[in-house]
Amino acid sequence: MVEFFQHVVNGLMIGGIYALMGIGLTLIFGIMNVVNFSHGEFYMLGAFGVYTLFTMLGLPYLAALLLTGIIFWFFGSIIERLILRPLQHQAIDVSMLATIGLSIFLSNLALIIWDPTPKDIGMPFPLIGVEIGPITLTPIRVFIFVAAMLLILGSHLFLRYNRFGKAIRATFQDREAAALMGVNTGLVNLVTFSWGTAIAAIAGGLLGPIFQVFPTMGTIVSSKSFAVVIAGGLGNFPGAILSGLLLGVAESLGAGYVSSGYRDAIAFILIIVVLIVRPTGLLGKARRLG
Amino acid sequence: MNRITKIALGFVIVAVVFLPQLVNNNYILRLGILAGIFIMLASAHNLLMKVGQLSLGPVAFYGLGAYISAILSTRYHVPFLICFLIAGVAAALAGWGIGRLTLKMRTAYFVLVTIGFAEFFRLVALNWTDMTNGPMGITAIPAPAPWFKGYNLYYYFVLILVGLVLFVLYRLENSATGRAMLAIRENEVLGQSVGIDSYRYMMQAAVLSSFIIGLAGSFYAHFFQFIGPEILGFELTITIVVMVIAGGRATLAGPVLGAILFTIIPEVLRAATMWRMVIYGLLLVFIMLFTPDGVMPALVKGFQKLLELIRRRNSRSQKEVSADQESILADGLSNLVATINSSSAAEAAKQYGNAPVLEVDNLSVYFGGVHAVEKVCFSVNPGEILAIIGPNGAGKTTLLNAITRLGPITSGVVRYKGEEITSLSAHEIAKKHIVRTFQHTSVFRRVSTRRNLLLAHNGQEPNGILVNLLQTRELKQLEEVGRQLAEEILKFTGLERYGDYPANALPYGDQRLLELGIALGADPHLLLLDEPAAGMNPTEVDNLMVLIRRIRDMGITVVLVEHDMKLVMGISDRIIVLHHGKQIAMGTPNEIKRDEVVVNAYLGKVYKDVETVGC
Repeated sequence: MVEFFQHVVNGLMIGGIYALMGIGLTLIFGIMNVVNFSHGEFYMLGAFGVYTLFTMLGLPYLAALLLTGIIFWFFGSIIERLILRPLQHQAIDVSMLATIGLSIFLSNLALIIWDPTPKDIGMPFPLIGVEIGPITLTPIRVFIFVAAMLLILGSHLFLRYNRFGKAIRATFQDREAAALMGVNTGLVNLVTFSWGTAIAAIAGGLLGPIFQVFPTMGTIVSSKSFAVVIAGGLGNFPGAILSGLLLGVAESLGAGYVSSGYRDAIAFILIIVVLIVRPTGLLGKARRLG
Repeated sequence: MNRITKIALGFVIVAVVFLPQLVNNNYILRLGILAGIFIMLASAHNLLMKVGQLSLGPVAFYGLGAYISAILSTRYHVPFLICFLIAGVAAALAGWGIGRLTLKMRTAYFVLVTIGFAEFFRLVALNWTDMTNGPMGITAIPAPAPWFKGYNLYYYFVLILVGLVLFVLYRLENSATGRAMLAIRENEVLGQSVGIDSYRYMMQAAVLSSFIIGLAGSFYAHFFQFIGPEILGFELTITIVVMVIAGGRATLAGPVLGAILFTIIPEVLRAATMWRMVIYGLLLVFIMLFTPDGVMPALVKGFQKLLELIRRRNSRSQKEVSADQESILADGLSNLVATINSSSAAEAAKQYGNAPVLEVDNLSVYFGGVHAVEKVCFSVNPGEILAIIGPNGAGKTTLLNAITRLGPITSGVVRYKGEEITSLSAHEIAKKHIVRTFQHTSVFRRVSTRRNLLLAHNGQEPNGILVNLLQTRELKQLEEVGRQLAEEILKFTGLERYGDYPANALPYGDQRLLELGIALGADPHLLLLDEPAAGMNPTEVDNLMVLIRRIRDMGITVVLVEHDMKLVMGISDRIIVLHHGKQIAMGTPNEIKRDEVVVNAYLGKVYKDVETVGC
């Protein structure tokens, strides 16, 4: 039983990161109709950002994380302007292939800059375990989970109460109607993509200290965040959070009790089963945001 | 195909056939074999693009074919040809099974769930070590035969395979199947409304595509004599998809060109050593930015422009249809007197007699708590024009959707010529010669006007894959009927001058006319029109009235949903009034005009306790 709860707690931490990746992907799809295959690379670059700033340049961890977020916000803006905006009226597979090209470009560029050997970011927090009853928690894991939840909550509050957040929701509902009401839908696209990129980079920076950092680390996370997005319902914000956490826990339990070789298959079994049973995802197709 | 293309194609074929004699270089031959495999993969994958579905899971079938063939030949010593065929059939079966689970999905859902299947297959290959050897892969896969040595033989083997595959695909492209697939990817719902069974065609595409991919997988295994789980990797999927989309999706030559280009480009890029994949990724982004439809269509377009330029220099007389030309409906359609002789409606009407053709019995449609259509009963007599009117939101379109099965039915029965049609699907309804139009203009936008009408007849043509491959006489005859019908409709609607222009280049009024033409192209006996006059000016409406009367005179029964009272009162034999989903009146135009309930409900006065007209 203790082991079970330990698995659940570990799963929730990874699940928080999946959820963080998932909300970015799902919003980018919902608002821009773009299936973003470079999302995993933004995650990878975020981890390298923190590695460079924290491990190599010696900035405090939190500052490195924040700075990475800001840098990738601007990076996302540039990508949106240069690649996605010119393609926004094309079929969905055109922008998809462009983001695939971008992801090949970025991961191989990272390979040249940081070479393929896995890097250790190093521990920003003391490694002493905090025991709550029979379950052991390390500060870094608590920090990751809390940070992920805060970012999700912050995004939710922004969408819910901020004026521009409302504009994003309006665009999600009906792009044309929102444009007629004076919403700058181009800016909505720009902000959505920049925000998604920054969040993905921060997710990489958060998980970096626990695992090693290497140029191809984005691939598997990327396909899992797709699983999360589909299982939650494309464009469905709470759905992505729920299925992200679920996937994290399911993987952790599956690896613990079934077989660690099939650990990565759980995500795909999850989407296949969810889509067959409920073709529109766990929480259905999103009708509204926030 | 013009003469220049034919000559060029001839040269290419000769060069390809004699490549081993011309170069006699194993490196080049190996590239040729690889390109052959990729042409098979890309062309097969493209079949799904033809029905508008992008799959990111082709490697699942590739891996399945390769592994089955490898396991059978190494463990059980099954001869190559049998392995080869079993690999194809097994992949086709897998394609069928996965298709059953996924082909109801569209766009991004389909894309992403197919990745799920491919990844799942890869993980099985990686982890089922007893069978697959896991990450080590299967080695020492025998050659197809002991005497099968040297790249020359493999080259000719793959060449013959590619030739067969392309021949089959070419035959299908130029048959009823190819046209149906075009209709599905241009406008699936409109396709269904004229009788095209999109699910069936998608399934055909999935099965044929996975069969070819499975064969390619088997060949790959016996050529390289080694396979590992890498052939199920996402990178290979990307390579295939890049070939298809960058080459030119849904065209025949696009994936071939794409496969050749993207077999060569990575080889050339080897010179860039570590920058190779960086450049490759960037190249992909640029191809998408500058030729989003693919390289092949861009080349064709460029070539046509060049020809145009040469022609223009030679003769300066150019006929052009300008977009701001007045709609045909506005300038004297009434002068047209063409009739449609190929329609089977008159004959069918003669045989049928006088009983109602359509009976709607207690039909209800609920969306959650909203009762969009509530226990509606009416019948339509042969040869009449029946109008359904009512305020917006009264349930008129929902009623049409329910009858044609493009929308749900909660309860009730619809009968056509005495036969219950409630349980049929949309395309089956159309095959029974019940055809509808749509409230919002719905045409095959990027297809020429004439082709639009050919596509409309597709539902009446055979949809078997074998019939279309063999191009049987029955098929040819039906195609000829479709062609004749299309020409007659072009004359009937006055759209003849637009025959070769894409539908989206037509003025609005003429697009609506084309919509009517498409419905006629499906050879209707019962025609349901959903607000055909929406957005038309008074002259256009007058002409539309003439046209609808003529359609009725051809023996086609017409049900008309419309707001334009001049049109409704002018041509209807009977009128039904809906209000809040309920039928509140039925009668001749004169009766309806004087009906107090209708006047109150339709003119907008608040009128509670509206009585329903019973069955």
